[in-house]
Amino acid sequence: MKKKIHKLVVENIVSGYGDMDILKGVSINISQEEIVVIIGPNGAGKSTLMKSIFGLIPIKEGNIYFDEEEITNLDTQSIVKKGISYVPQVKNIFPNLTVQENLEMGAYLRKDNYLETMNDVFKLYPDLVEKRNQIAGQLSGGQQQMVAIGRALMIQPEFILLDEPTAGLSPKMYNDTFESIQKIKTLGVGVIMVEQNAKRALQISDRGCVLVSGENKLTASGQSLLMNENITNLFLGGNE
Amino acid sequence: MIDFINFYFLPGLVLGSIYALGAMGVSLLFGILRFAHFAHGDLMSFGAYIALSMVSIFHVSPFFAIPASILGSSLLAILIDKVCYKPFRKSQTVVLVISSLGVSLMLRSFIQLTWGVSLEVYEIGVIKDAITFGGNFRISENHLVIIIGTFSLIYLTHIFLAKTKLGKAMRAMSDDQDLALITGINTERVIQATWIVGGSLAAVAGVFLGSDTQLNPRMGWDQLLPLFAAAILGGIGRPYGAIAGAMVIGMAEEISSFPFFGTEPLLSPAYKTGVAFFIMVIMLIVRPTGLFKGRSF
Repeated sequence: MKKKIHKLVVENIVSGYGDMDILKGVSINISQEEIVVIIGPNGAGKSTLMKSIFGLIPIKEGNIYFDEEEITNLDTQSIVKKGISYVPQVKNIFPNLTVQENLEMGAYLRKDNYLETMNDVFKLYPDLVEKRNQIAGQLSGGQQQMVAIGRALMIQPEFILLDEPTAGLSPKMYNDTFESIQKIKTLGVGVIMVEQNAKRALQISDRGCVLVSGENKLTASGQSLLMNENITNLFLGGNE
Repeated sequence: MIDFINFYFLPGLVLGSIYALGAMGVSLLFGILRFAHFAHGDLMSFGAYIALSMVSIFHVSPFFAIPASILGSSLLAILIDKVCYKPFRKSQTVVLVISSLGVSLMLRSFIQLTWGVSLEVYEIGVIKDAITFGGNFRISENHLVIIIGTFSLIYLTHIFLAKTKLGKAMRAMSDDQDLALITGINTERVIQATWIVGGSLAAVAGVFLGSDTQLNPRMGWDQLLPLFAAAILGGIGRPYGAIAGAMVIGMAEEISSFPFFGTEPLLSPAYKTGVAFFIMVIMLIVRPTGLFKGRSF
């Protein structure tokens, strides 16, 4: 068990491409062993938020702290070293590398022995064990998603950012992915995820954050968001 | 049949080997940097001329000068990258291609200024006995070294790409640059390693080419067409494909002048270079992604 519980705090960040601001002051915070779900309509800036935290889009205003240390606009490699990893929505595996090589690349910055972590990943995704020497690009969509998340876990992150991890998956894979995300949380990792199926995601989340037009509309516990009629009507297709 | 093997097949294999070393570099560099490196042939020439200096100073066989050539060409490649390509990393591909064309002109002029413009050979007047095997098959010592040397280097490169951390990172970056960055791979270091591998292979190809024929400042530039034909044939960005492509091009160039019908060569040896071009054009029409599905961007 890790002794210290790390915190990631995002304060009022403004960011976007060129002159256009997509995020207009967004704040969220997360501790390890928490799942925070970001929901909101298309174009709300959910993916932009993920990329901004990870240093892929320059932040114009606001700050990001890892514990007390400021990591705003740090280069991506340093952010990975701090213990934050990111799984993009698409193009999140190396298609011509084997499953095992994909995982090895995830541990690229580690100097210590990462075999134990690899075993943990295989425990989390037993389906990958027999595919470990197969070319990742030939796997099914669901298995590729496992490789993608597995790769991000190899650095032993304190926080993992998942951008729509269930997009385009079959119902079974979809359930498996949600289960694995809950397991990742129990490994002591803080999970920030963007999810289109907000209802299901909020059920497993500790907190939900509603993002509309680049601003926080509401941050509350997953349960209370599910009970909130405005939210259910707006994003969750109403209560059946 | 024996004539075919001695005078067409084996020389084809030798030519294919030299092309393979160059084309692998072209293909690797394309995979990582996403541009056609037009100065690659001149990098070969540079390696060949470094060996020439070693040969004339220390009176050794050019093959023993290969380590010096490798060192020279790799260092030069890294320097060129820093000065001429790195500033354009985020620019459009065409800028890098033009830049490499400029580099090729500079390199050639540098060679002309340093070593002169006349033809040079590593060893004057030495005709070595051919090695005979199985009765009538003959192969010159030079050719044997070139073929064995090439296959050893291909094997070494394969081990590097398949087994080492840096080699795997190279393949990963060739797969997806953005994801490599997100994963924490030090992409500039991978680029540097690629120049070392590409530069080394080019240096050896240059020495082999020089020992098989002679040296002149245009020697590498003249190989550019077959090198790119080989890389395209194998699917650009796929170093293993480039090896196969190079063998096909080398063989085709030599075998095209075999007298298949009667006693006249099928194609006059003067048209050899055209063969590579012909194969490349046909390939681009029929299967533009190459034999082993190359990259498309």
